[in-house]
Amino acid sequence: MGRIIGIVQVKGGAGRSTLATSLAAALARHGRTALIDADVPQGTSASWGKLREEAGRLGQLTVAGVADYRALVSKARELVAVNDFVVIDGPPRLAEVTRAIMVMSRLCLIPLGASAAEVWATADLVKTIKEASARRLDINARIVWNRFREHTRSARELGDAAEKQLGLTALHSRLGYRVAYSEALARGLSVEEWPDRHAQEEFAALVAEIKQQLGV
Amino acid sequence: MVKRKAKQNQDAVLGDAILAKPDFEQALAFAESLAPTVPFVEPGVFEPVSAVQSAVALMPQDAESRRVLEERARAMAKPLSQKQHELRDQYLRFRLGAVERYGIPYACLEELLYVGNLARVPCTPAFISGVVNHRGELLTILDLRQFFRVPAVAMSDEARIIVVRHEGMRTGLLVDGVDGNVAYQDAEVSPPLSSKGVSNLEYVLGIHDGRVALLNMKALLDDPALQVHR
Repeated sequence: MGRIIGIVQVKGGAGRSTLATSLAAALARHGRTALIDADVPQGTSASWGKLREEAGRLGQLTVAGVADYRALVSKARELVAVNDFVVIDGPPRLAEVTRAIMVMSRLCLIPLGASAAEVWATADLVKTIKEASARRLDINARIVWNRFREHTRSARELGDAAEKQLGLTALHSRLGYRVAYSEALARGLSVEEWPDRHAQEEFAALVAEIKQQLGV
Repeated sequence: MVKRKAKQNQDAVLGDAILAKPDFEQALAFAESLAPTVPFVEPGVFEPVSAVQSAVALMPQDAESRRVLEERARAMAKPLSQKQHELRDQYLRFRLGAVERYGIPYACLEELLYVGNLARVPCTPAFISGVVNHRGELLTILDLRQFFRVPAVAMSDEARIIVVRHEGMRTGLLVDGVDGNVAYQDAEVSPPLSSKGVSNLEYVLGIHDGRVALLNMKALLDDPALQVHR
């Protein structure tokens, strides 16, 4: 049975689809991978998949879109049986879909930009994690710092404070503030396929860390 | 071997519950346990079934009430900056004579003084009450009753001097009493009515609340009659 990696964030524009698409493409190089876009009708990940399919780049990757949490659970059940990895891109809402993703995932990634608004929005996710914990449901969540300006003091300070305040652990690898991510997404590419060496390296490090977290 | 050990450590960190994932039934149950959102209530077709819905049912449903509630909701949903702007617009309301109410925008207010030793100055117009020594500086006191030709009343102990400043010029205004602060919005100020019986109408910005004349301090302090250095 494959491993589910959920990508959730209730704040829009935090980089869910950017992370989901590049991660799915990277994992597809290691094994059969499915990407489920649960943010329909926006469907950023699904559109990316369409572009990729048209360019003949899908390889071991399957892309699907689901409209509600029941469809999501049923699709995940179907895909996890035939894939090594299932990446789910959640909606920017704390809806049923987000809750289902959090409970289903072996690893739940929360992309977070170093802005106060995104930290506040994440506090709602933390509440859901606590709620799940009260029901004896473990959620294995990790922050993924995104659009991170490593060299600015405010970003570093906000990063440390947010991790402390939210009580969530972050992955060591951080994604920087780079055009490569949006450019790659818009062209149906993964960031590792975009000619920006720094972006490629930092994303490869993130993928390695995620695989380690998944125990593969 | 090493790899296997590392994997075992990883498993120990993750815990059995995480390793047992995915559990689709639990995921469905947790998703469905989300507290229901407040339902939209169609007027007339409502059946109270919960505390939230009962509260909604108590709201008036007629067209006029809905209009009022909608208006209130819009006002409450205004951006903060706009609200702050509206709050900033305040004036000090004061009395001249027995009945007339005037207002001075907060922006030009400096302070309020008790009427102390007011020294008359010879050869000045009647609307100059005199001067006072205010912190070592001479402050000219303007008698607004004379200026606006308001019937005089005997000066009571409620009389005050309002110190105003506009573009570097400080003046004291002698008034019969200060009522307090009033918050207002520009939209609530109506233009002053033109009337032959009203003197110096150009010094009035507008009328608030149907009876308070908001003074145009710029026009008032720019009046050539007040330019004492000439």
